[in-house]
Amino acid sequence: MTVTSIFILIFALILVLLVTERYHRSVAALIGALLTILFGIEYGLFHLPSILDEVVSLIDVNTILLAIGVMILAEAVARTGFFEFIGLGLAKLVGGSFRRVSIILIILTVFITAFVTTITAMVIMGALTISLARRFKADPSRTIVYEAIMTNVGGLMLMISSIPNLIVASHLDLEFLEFVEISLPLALLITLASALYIFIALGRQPMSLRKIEANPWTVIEDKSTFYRAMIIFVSAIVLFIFRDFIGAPLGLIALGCAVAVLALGSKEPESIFSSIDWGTIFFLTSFYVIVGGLEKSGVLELLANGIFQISEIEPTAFPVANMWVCATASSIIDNIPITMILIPIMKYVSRFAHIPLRILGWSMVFGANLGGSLTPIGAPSCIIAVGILRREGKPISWGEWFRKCLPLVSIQLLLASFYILFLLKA
Amino acid sequence: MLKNILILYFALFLCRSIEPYLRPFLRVKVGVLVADSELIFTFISLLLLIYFGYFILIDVRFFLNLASKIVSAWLVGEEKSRVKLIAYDIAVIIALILLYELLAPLARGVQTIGEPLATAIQIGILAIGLLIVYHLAGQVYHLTKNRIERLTRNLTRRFSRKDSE
Repeated sequence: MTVTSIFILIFALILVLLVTERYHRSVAALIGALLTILFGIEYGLFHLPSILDEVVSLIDVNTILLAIGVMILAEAVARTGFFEFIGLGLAKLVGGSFRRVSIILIILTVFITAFVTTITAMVIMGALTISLARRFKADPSRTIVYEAIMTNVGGLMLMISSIPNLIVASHLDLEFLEFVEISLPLALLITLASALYIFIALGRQPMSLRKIEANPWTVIEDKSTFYRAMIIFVSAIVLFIFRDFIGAPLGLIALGCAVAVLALGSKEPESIFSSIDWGTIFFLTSFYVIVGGLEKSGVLELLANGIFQISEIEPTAFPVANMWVCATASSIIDNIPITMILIPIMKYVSRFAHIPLRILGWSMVFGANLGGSLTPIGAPSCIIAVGILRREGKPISWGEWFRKCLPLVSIQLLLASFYILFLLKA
Repeated sequence: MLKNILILYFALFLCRSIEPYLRPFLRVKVGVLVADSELIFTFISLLLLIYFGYFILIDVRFFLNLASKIVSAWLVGEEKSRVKLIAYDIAVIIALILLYELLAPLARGVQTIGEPLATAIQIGILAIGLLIVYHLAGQVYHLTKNRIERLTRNLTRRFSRKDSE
């Protein structure tokens, strides 16, 4: 067998394992990385004396450090009770019907996901929504489903909002401010359109309360820790924005701020370490090795040639098509491997088809983030939302999910498609 | 299955053994067609082969089903969804090919017994692979059959309703 066929088989095996979820995704990726190393040695892609150096050179350490740093930072801020504080405060301010409160909660979900992982955002917002729904004696199921969808919109907002953003930014050398300039306006536009749709879709809520009796400050356990964590968090954002002037890699900034928050803004570093999504970190690291193997064995070039021929049919529509393919694939498989596989392929396509690489990068960011909402297993936040609803005795089927989400996600993807065409023209 | 194989073997052996002795006596002529003893015994052998072969095939299928189910349950584990079973079978087949590609060169490197060891590994993996392929084919067949039956049932119900209206 040729080296290309062997690596195609490894890739196919990993895809089947990821789709069927037979193993945890990190375990599936570790199996793939191990096979890549073993066959790499057998076919002369890696050399035994320098194997460790060769394998480590395939891993993008900057992205890994950035992901770890942002996760620690977000977890520390979330633990101070900041997001519950904002949520409760806003709900108290708005009052009225559960529909109005739902819209506020949904919009807040987008902004929270801009800073914390979708899992953390969904857990916080899910708990808050259920507690408020009980006060209103309303059904929270629709609101929770829409919150899950909006966490994926929130993932578009900033460079640190989701792992695909970090990967694309690191590989295409995108700046923090570029996300603010390009991705943030789309996220806001989609949020606005989605809020309108959800407002109509939620319909009239039977119960309404004139005033919610709750003091938001009760959710803040320790005010001094809260203030310190907030100062470090805001400093991290400022440092990300002014990274160019500082000249430091993003990973280093994120890790530095994470160390600061662990030392000053948190009382329980051990517990923060245990709640970090180490599975994602292992998955990310292993997948870098798999992608490296695919690149060295010529599989990616083969795929790129195929995709390049498709791109020649209509180069203007290609970024949009790329976004839809990315979104559809993200609804079944995790968006991290899709982004990682597509980045080197898009580099080839951009070089030969003369399509701006940045546009292709944005189309991947939009598709990978938004596509997760298409199915209940497309994104971690969707899985958590389904779990919350099951615990509340309101299980949701795949059919119901499609009925509730497909129109909204289609609107979001259509808006993103027009936005890509606008970026191409600009 | 063993009984049927032995009976078939014995019957074919008997046909082959007595045919030369009966050659001078057996010669049937129907119109212009002439059938000598060799042709008659070949025809009888074929009939025996079809008759006993059918029972042997049924038994082989039974054992294949059992063996493929055991191998699949051992490698894949308990799974109720047919679609997932198909995906797992495909994963196992890919894993077997990769395992062979990884182990065969290593086995060949072993001094003196290298080549036979590689062949043994090849046979072992091929046997497991064939059983998994058989299991996979069975799952695909049942999945397709169930879907087609459901579709036919729905269409028949719809047409009969239209007719009654």
